[in-house]
Amino acid sequence: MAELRALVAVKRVIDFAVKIRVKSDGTGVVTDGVKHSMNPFCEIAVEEAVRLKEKKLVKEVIAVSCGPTQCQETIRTALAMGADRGIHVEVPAAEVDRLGPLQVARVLAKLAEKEKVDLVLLGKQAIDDDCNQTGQMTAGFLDWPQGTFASQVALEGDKVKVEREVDGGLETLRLKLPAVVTADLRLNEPRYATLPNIMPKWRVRCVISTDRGRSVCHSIQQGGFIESSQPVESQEEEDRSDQGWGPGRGPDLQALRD
Amino acid sequence: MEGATVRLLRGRALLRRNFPICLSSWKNPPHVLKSSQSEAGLKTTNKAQPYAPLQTFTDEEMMIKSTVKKFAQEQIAPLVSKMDENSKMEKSVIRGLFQQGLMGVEIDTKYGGTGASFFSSILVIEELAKVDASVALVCDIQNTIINRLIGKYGTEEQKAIYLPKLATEQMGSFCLSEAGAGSDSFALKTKADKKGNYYVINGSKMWISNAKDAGLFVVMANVDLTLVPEANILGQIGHGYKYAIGGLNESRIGIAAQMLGLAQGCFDHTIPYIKEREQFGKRIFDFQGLQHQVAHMATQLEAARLLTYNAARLLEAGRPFIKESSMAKYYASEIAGLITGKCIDWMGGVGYTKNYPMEKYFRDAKIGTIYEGTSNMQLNTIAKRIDSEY
Repeated sequence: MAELRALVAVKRVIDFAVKIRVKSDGTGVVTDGVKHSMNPFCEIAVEEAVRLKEKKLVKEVIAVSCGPTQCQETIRTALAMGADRGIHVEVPAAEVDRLGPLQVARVLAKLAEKEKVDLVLLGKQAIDDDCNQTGQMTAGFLDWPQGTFASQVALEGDKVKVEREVDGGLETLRLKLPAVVTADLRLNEPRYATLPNIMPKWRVRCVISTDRGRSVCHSIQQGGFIESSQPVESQEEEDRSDQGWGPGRGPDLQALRD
Repeated sequence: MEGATVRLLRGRALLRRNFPICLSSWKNPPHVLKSSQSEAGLKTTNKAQPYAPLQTFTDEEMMIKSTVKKFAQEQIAPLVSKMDENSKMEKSVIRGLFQQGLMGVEIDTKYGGTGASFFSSILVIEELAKVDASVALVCDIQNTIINRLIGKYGTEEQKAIYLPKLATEQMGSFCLSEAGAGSDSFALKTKADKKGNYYVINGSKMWISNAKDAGLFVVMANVDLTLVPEANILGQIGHGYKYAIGGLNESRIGIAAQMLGLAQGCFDHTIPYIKEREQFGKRIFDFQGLQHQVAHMATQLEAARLLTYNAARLLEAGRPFIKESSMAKYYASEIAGLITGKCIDWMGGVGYTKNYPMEKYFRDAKIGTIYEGTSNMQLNTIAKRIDSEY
């Protein structure tokens, strides 16, 4: 079934090897100047998606990240591991604190519908908040079946067989596609991005300034041009429908990097 | 807060927090707890900004650095003590270097290489050296001497034949020194006599790199001037000395990076220990005398870093770099010896044992002041440059 398309959500978190320091005013942890990297469970999810692509079961792997501009580095890492396209949902730095699983799940649900994907892969939880909610909420918004804490994933025709690690042991589910799967630790061993894959065959070519409360999507792709950039209404307010995904709005774009 | 994930990831050896460094054997090296500030200085650059700090990397360089760091700490670090005991490079390490594209960093993509900048190979060497100086050297020789020589002086046919192999599977060896020709490499006696359309090389080399594992040997030999070049001659006959010395000027920066990474790696292993170990009712790190020593060493390390990065950037920019490259190699190798020695002091008794990595770093640092031009030769080079400047 080489027509399947997969969406993988990746989160930029503080690197696990870093010593966390609490801010002196007690409002959170120090994130400025601290090394960040891709959530380890998200790496496992990306690796699974890329392996499915290599087995020719999935045609395209799209990596998504929600957050400030630096998330593009995380998306680049996913591209270097083998994803085909990247989408960055830009959230203004001031609003990042209010971005939680509910908001991200809404974004992912919308993107999954717009991009017409058959499989949404995520890490089971992020190592900074340990929420373990985004995958489940996304499935809820989409009304798709979900296979969480996956330790084995196999595509069988129009179904996906998921072996889950649960408290009582292992549970095997067969989900009808489209479905949401969250990756657990023993699903696979993520590959290292090889140096040739890191080298840019593409560049990020857009920056969108955002109004207060509005986030904007822009795409990063091999080949060096933006696919589309449309504002998506804020997740803090009610979920209003967006304006559709037609060709981009020219005047707002300016090159951020060469 | 992170309890559940921590326990889970610890089982995977992805994460080791709250584990007293001073009690762990380094044969299963703990993930060194880094200060949250240690990566703070590294920023990416948008364009080639003028007046940007030397520690400004492009996005690709940044990504390359973090990937290599991860690879080195996860795949190479566990094997270091075994390789040291057996004096043998593990095949999986060599394979890993090739698979990750670390052996053809500067080679053009059309030959199967990565097509990255010279500075990227410097960063790769530094990150590898933080884990094991010998592995870093393998990578350094391949990238900064062998690949560069063939890339610069090879014909199109030679490049098409050798560069793809060097990028993907074949280790190279650089053969210059002899028993009677070390610092005075011009005194080499190996001869190449033309017989038909091939050369017969007679002589014996010493200290050739990677002898056990290499598949390609770049040999410097004396030739009669009347003879006609043959397919495997690199560049022009009679110019070999110039090529060798020119190549070494560039690869010197790689050695500086190796020594820099080595010193940094040793330092990174030591500081968490002295922040944990307590004597006389306080941490070793709390004694001002020791703090002064640490600060002094850290300053020297930073200076070596800046010398190395600057020399690499000068080379990339096509500007004169020979004096700076000599300074970088000389300084980095000297302070690597000092810092690793001091690290053993700070560790106390355990620093002297093989259970901890400092003594390996200390041993490995010694070669830095000797190979690719001894410290005295570097000082000669620098003085000659100064002479021509005034």
